[in-house]
Amino acid sequence: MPDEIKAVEVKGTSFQIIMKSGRTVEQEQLPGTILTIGDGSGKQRRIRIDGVERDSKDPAGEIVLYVLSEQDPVSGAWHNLCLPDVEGRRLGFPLEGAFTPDGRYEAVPGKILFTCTGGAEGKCIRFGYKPWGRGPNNISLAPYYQTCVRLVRADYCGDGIGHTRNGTPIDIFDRIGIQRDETAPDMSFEAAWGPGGAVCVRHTRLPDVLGMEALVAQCPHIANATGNTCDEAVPALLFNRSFGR
Amino acid sequence: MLSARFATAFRTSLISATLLGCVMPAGAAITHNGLTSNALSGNSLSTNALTQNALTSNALTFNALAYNGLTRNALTTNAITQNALTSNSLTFNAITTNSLTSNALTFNGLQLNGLQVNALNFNSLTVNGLNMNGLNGNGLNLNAVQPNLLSPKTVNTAVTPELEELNGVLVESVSLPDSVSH
Repeated sequence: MPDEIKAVEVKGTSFQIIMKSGRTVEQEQLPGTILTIGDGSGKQRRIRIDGVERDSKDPAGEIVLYVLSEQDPVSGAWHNLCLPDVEGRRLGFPLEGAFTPDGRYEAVPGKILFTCTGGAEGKCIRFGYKPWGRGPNNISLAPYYQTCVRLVRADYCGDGIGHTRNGTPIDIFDRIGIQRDETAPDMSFEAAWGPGGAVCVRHTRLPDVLGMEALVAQCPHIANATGNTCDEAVPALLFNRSFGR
Repeated sequence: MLSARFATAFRTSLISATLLGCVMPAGAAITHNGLTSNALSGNSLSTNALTQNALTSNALTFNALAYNGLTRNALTTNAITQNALTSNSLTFNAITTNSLTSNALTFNGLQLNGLQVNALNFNSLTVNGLNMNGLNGNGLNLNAVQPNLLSPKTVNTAVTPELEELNGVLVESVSLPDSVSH
C-alpha cells in the first residue's frame, strides 16, 4: 500500500514532507516534487523542486538550498523561480512566515515565503542571521534577521520601501560576532540599524536614489539622528558601511 | 555565514608568505633552522617565480619586526607555490605593519596548498589586504588582529516580483516523485 503525505512543514530553510507512516522524506529524494501553493483565494501556482544542496557557506550545515522552477499556467513550461545571485547561481529556499507590506517579518505557522539567494531575505539568513536561531548568550536572532533585511534593502524608515540597487556593495557588522567589520577603502560608516529601520544615518547609501534631505522628509523620526554623531557607538543591533560618499 | 570564514586564513597566509619571502633567497628545498631575524627591513623586494617546496622552519623567531612607512611600488610576485610548508613553534611577537603602501601589488597564480601552521601566535598583528583559502591552522592564536581591505560583501537587495507574490503562501498540495511516493 503506497504511503501518503501527512504534512508539509518548513524547518529552517528546508521542506519537511512527513508521510503517514511517520517517516520524513529525505532531502535528496525531493527533486521532482511538485508543490501546489496558494493564498487561500483559489488561485494556485505550481512550484517544482529540481535540485537540493546544503549551503557550503553555512558552518552549521543547517541551510538547505533548492533549485526551484515554476510552471507557466498557459504554456506548461517550467522556468527557474530565481534570478542569478552574485555568484550566478539560481537557488532559493522556503522560510516559515511572511513579510508584511511594511517589511515586518512574522513567523506565521503554516504560511511560508520563498526567497532566493540573491534577495535580501535570503542573503540575511546566509549572513548568519537565522530567524529561528540563537546567538551568543542564547539571544534570539529573529530581531537581527529583521534588522538585516531592513539594512540590506536600505529601508531607513522601516516602512518596507528600499532605497538601493542590486549589486551595491556594503559592509555589514554587529557586536555579537556573526558578521565582522570588513570594510574596504573609501567605504565609510552609513548607518546603525534596528528592527524598525535605521536608528541613525550618517549618509545614505546611494545619494542619487535618496539624499539626506529626502531621507529626513520621509523619516521624521530620525531627523535628529543624522550626521557625524552616528557611528558604531550608537545602541543598535547592526551597522554598515558603504561607498555612499 | 558569508565572507567572514576565510578572513583568518587569509591574513595568516599572506603575512607568512611576505615575511618568509623577504628573508629567503629564491630556490627550492630551502631549510632554515633556528633562524632569527631582528629588525628586518625589506625594500625594493622582487620575488619572481619563487618555489618553496618542503620548507621547514623550526624555532623561527621574529622579534619586534616593524615595517613602518614602507612603500612597495609595482611589486610583482608571480606564480609562488608553497606546498607542504610546515612551520612549527613559529612565533611572531609584536609585528607591526603601519603605513604600508602597496601600489600595483600583484599576486598572480599564488597558491598555498596544504599549509599547516601549528602553535602559531600572532600578537597585535595588523594585516591589510589578505586573501586565502584552505589554511589549516592548529593552535592558532590571532590576538588584536585588524583585518582591513577584505572584499566587501556585495549585496543584491531587490526581491524579485514573483517572489513577492510567493510571500506568506500555503502549500495546498504536494506531488512526490513516483519513486518516493510508492
